[in-house]
Amino acid sequence: MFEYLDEITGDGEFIVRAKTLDELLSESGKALVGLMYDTEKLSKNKRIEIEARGETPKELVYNWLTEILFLQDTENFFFKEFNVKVKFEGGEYRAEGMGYGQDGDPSLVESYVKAVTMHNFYVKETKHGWEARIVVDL
Amino acid sequence: MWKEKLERVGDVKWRFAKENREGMKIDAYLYGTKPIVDGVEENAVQQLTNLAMLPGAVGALAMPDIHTGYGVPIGGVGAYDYEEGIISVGAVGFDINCLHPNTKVYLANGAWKRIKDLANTWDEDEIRTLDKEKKKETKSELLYFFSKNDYRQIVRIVLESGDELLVTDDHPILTTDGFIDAGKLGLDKRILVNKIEGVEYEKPEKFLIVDEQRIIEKIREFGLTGGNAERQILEHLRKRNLLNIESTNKQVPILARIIGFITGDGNITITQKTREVSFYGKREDLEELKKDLEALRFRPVLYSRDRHHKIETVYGDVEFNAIENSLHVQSSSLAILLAAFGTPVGNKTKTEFHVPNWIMEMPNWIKAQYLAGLFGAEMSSPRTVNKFNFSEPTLNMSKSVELEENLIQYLEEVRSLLADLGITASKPRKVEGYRYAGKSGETIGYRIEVHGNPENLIKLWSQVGFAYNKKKKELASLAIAYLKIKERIKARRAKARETAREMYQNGVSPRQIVKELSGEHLTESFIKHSIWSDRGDPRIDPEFMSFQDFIEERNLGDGYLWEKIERIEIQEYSGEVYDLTTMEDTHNFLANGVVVSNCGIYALATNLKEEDVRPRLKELINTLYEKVPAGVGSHSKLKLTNDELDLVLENGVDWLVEKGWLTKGDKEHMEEDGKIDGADPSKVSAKAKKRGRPELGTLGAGNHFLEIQVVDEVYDEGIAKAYGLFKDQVVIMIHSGSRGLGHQVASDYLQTMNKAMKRYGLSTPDPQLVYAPAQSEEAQDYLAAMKAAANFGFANRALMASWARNAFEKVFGQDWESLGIRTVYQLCHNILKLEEYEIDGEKRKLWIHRKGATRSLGPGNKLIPKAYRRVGQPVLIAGSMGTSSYILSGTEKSEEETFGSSCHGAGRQMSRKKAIKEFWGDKIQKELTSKGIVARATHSKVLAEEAPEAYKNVDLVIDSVVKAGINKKVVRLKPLGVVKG
Repeated sequence: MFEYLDEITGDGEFIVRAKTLDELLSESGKALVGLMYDTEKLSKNKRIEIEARGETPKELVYNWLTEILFLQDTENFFFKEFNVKVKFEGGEYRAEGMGYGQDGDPSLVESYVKAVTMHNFYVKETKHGWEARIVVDL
Repeated sequence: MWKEKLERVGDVKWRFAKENREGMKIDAYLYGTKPIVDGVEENAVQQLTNLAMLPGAVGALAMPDIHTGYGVPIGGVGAYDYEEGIISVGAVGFDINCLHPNTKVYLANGAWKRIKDLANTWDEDEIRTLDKEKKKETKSELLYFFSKNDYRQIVRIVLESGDELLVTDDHPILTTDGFIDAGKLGLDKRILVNKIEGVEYEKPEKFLIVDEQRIIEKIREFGLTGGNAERQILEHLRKRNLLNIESTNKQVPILARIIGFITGDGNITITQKTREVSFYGKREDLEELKKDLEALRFRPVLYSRDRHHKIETVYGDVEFNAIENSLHVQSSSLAILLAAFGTPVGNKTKTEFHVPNWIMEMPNWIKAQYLAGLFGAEMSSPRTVNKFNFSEPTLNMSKSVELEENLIQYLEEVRSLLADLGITASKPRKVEGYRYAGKSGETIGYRIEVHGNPENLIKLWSQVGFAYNKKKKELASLAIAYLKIKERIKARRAKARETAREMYQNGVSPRQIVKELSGEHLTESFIKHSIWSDRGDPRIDPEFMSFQDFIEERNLGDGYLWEKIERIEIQEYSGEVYDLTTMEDTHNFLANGVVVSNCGIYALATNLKEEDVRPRLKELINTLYEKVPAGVGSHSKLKLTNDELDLVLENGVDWLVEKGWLTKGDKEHMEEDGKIDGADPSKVSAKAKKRGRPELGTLGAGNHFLEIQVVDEVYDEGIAKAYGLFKDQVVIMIHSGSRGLGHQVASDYLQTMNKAMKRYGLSTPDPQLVYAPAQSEEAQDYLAAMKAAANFGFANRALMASWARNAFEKVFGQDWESLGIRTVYQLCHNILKLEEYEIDGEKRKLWIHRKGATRSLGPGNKLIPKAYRRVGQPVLIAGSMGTSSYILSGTEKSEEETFGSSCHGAGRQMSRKKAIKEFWGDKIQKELTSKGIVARATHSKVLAEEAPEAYKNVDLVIDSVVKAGINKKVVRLKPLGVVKG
């Protein structure tokens, strides 16, 4: 579950809440791409592997989202949904996931996320699971 | 709560005093008229004060277009001292400070010198030193060196290995309890040592190893004669000072190790299709190799890939994942250079090769470097066969059957190099059972073994050791210490045995003998056996710790280990003592969060007037939209190769000039001539490059645009004339950045710098605002990468400018020269630079961070293009879509007050989402049309989020900087048509 905030001029900001770290990643991915295009309008005819690592959950979330932007740019892929598993292995978190969606289509783009920032950024464990707050550079 | 603390200190100048926030080192200033300040967000002011909190802050300013950014405000300028804030961290290692003349100093090139011999060369030598935090050996230049005649107490510290140190009593020694002065050292302390010494330095006899003629021969031998290949290779090598290499060249030891390593675990490919030098190994080792290749000024790229393997065995299929690392340099010149140096090229099993002749003629310390490279790749690691004894190190090599003779000969050559160093090894012998018939023919294996007696092993590991192999190097140092300690104990036991026998012969009672002689490693039973048996040389005490336990107890990492002190003697000494200090980490600061994607503006002027363009405006905008790809995922018509991208990163607009797409005249009318020196493509990640490769010459999305504008007001005729501008003239303005490449660089280094902050124990007022000491590796890497991204940004805008010219040519049916399309100026407004300003009458070097701010220099400044120098630098200010833009000129006051900085645009006042909610794209389109503006965008929402109403009134922003005296107004530009991504 995620919600968009509207506090910073020029930026997209959202809070994501999830029961597990797996879900936190897939929801924050959805929030990220939702800023750029209406995912409802996308079809789901392609898939792409996404991998990210991090020594902390915070680093993992940052790398995960940056990887999505990287793949969107270099593979020309628009994401509709995510499916991800996080493992803790060899002293770090490893996310192995799959993105589902279609080929990029500029006519669907509403605005463009340049980069994920660390401004006001946090990832924390809560009573109900996990919560993250993310600001991206639009 | 932040804004209320702003006090007005001038007509358009506001101060936030440092007393109002703890941690601020200086006051922060905001420039703007009252209405501007009334409209500023609270967060933006807080972010302005962040700039004043960083170490070494000299200036913290915000321009009137200030709005909230990440950590620091957009429109912010931060200036940080180059020198101030230097914190000296005690240099590590006992081989520095006041030392005895004969003390050995280990050099980074692999040799050692006595400290007294450093007197004439210290300013050229680099020494090995330990970065204690990273537990990694690094190299350091020497900051100063002197000797003085002194009479003082000298401390002789004898370690359990028998190695000794002679130091003055005030000399700090690194122990398990931190630094302790030698005079105060107790026997209970353990001290840090490294046992890998290298070979004593000896100046090579001067001879030419490789010259231009030899390079040309190699180029021809491999048939690389097509096109400009030969000229380019020679030029590349000349640039790197690698065309004529004499034996005394400082790069020779580096080349020797690299060549040794390639002969083991590397490969050179020189074919018509591929010219590449590749290396294989562990990531940490390849990183060391990378540094060496970079020291030669080549650009290696490190790849890691997770590979899935499936192997059929007699037990069934085994599957596993392994990470494969490799380092590649795609460079014809390096491949040819190495070939000219006698390195094997192509498939080594099928190629005849020898130890290069020139190596044979070098002093021992360079021979040792060649062997270290080879052994790092191919020789077996130090390991014990039982608890205490080491197996004989072996060097195995294989070759195709036809080359058996050559294989034996090569191993003989290696053996003779070892003999020069006083190390003995067995003759090459066939590896039994190794004969392998594979796809590429039959191969056989041969090996030599280094003799296993302790002195021989110690010589091998301490003089030669292993290059580019951290694990083996670490084990070698530990093994040397272990062997030395073990041999000393054995010697003590032998001596005790002899003494016991003598005492017994002289009639001393066994009980008395045991009482007198027994102790550690000398048990009662050992002494009794010595008396009554006729056993020969004693073996090591079976209770002695195993090598494995020794490693666990003593290892610090990277060849450093803790050793016990056996005894300390104080001696009187009269004579020279020597002092040297390493270059330490200097602690001034570069902030990364301040600088991100290197956006900028490019302005082109034409000879056309509004009336010429108006009738063809729609066609022109459509043609521009076709020529200049815009929007998310838009790909350039130009596909860059890896090498080409590197050239763009290194040379910016120069590359386009070389290609003939821009002229020298264009380039000379740009900030930094469109190329920032010191850019290092190898500091840009492979990911960033992958994003950048298809993006050169694309506009991108967001607030970036290309506009056709008309000069609708001239404020200063004189300056306008100098800039070549006149009323009703049509101008083209491009606002874009370094695209995905720049964003990826920022994301990559945000993390690097974050980690660096943790390591240096630095704190930040905002997590996005990360920084590192300016001289730290992280900061320097970032700087080199940021410069590369800025060059990409410069080239990106310039390439679009050249395509915009083509669009005009197509629509008007004339060439661009006759349309008078020329560059007015190009600048960037997200950048970090080292600049010099006068502060309180004193010239100081400062790190100037401009985030959404423009450089603005006054008349006479040498950094301004000649044609404009008299009137000041053009400052290009982009309005928001559909509103006016301006060209201003810089003043002297901007250099005095704002570190040569001004605003960059209108500045947002409404978030993008809100703008989309409030303005419909269609409505915007109509509004623009009603103003006579033709707009073309990929999507109507794109227009909405950039609606003019979402921005501050640009006129107010301009008023503020003009009133502040930072700029003069030159012309105002009105949009005629817009292309947006």
